[in-house]
Amino acid sequence: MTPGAAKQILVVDDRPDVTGFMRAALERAGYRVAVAENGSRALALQRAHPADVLITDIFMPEGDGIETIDRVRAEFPGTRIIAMSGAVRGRQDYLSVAAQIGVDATLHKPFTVDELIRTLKTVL
Amino acid sequence: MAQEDFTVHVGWLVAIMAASGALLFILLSLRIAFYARERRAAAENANRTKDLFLATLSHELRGPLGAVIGWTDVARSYLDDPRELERCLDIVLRNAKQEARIIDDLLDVSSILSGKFSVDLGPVPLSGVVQEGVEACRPVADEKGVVLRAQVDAGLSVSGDRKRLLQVLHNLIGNAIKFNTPGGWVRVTLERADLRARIVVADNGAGIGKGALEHVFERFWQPERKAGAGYAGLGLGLAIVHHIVALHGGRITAQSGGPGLGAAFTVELPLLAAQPAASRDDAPVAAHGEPSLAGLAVVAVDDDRDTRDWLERLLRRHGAQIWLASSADEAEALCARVSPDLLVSDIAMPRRDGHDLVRALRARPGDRPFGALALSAQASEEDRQRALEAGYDVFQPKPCEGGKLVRALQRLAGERVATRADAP
Repeated sequence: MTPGAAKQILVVDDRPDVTGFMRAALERAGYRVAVAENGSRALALQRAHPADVLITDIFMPEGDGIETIDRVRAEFPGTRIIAMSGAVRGRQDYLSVAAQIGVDATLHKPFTVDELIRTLKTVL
Repeated sequence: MAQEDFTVHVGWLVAIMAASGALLFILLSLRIAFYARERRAAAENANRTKDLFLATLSHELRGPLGAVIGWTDVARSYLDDPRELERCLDIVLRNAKQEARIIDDLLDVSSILSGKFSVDLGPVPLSGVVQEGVEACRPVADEKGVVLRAQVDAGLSVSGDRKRLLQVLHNLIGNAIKFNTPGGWVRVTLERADLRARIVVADNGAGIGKGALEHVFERFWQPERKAGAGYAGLGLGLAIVHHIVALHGGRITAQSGGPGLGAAFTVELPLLAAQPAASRDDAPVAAHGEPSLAGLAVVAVDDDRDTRDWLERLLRRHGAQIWLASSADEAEALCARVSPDLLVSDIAMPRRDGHDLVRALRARPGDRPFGALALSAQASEEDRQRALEAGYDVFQPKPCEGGKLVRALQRLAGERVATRADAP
């Protein structure tokens, strides 16, 4: 990849209103953004054009958030992974699960644009 | 008996008893073990369900909030761009409203659980309420490309809480649309069944599996999903609906052929009072108390069979003589044969639409003038204008309450009679 080229981000969430604002914010910050509403769509996009960072929710209706993370980590070691979630699990949250399976960073929902960009910068 | 034989027999007897006892003991132990395992599994299941519920609740509550916070933040970058700013505000508003609805559902369930949920019972014109419920859901159906049709018998009243009944309709119709795909349909019917009013919300969407069917009205219940999967919603709506229907002295049942085969939800409510099929309130009665469309010859055209059935029942009940056509060609042939007083026609029909039909009919020389009413699901101002320009006298948006259609036709027929009387 040419140095200085814009980083490619793949955002995965079943809510279009969430991927929508994330795309707007990330593009405004100079990133290139692709968006998917579920894991299988995300994998198709990733295989066609591997992203530098994958940001995915892990509690989606089709249950494929964690699976997507597994696959991307296995097939694309160069892609950083950020897991996001608002789902609570006992006294913790679902993000502790993500930490266990190995992601590079986590985002607690709901988050601001600032928090999004800051977290992204920590993995790039 | 010899001593040895006796001992052998006793020996055998003891052995058999011991074996039976051991067997019994083993069986009993197994039974207890299985029972304990079932109880444990049930407890684990309950725990899992609670865990899953909490995960889903937090996920669902934070979902719209994420969009509100995110888009409000993004909006700051668009302060100089009113159009983009407006788009941000629309999205924020939509999600804030969604959040409000989730909170409403949670509060309803909370009050149900604490025994504080109440309904105010009074006479409710159910026919009107069902129409209102359908119309409230129409924008969502349209946006998703799901066809929403209603067949509502006029004049049915129940003792109930109008707001809560609307809530029931909104939930059932909303679900039917939600679990459907573009091109699918949802049909809402209201009819009288002996001393009950029967509402059916049917669809050809995702359907319900057999195992799920018996649980579908349980609070927080969700169909089996993969571990870690989230859900679309909290599983509260149908439990609330079930409760409301019960408080109305009614009954709700769910049917489905299985996954992918659609579903039908049937609500039965006791009618307020025994009423004649054509109610006094909704359908006007002609001056001498006779059915209001008596003696009128009507040709009704619609490519949808359900609509034709409805029109036939409705108009016949009000004394009209009705001929049905499923296409413009058929209608033209019928009109030539029958020479009707009134034409009731759909607009959007395959191959030849309602505009073309009425233009062709109006252009025929020597035909008796007739009143034409367009009955169409496409009801913008532009659609109305087009229909009137093509030659219709009246434009009636679909779905429409039976009584309203009959009144419109009666007025139309009256005008036609007056016109004919005035003509030289």
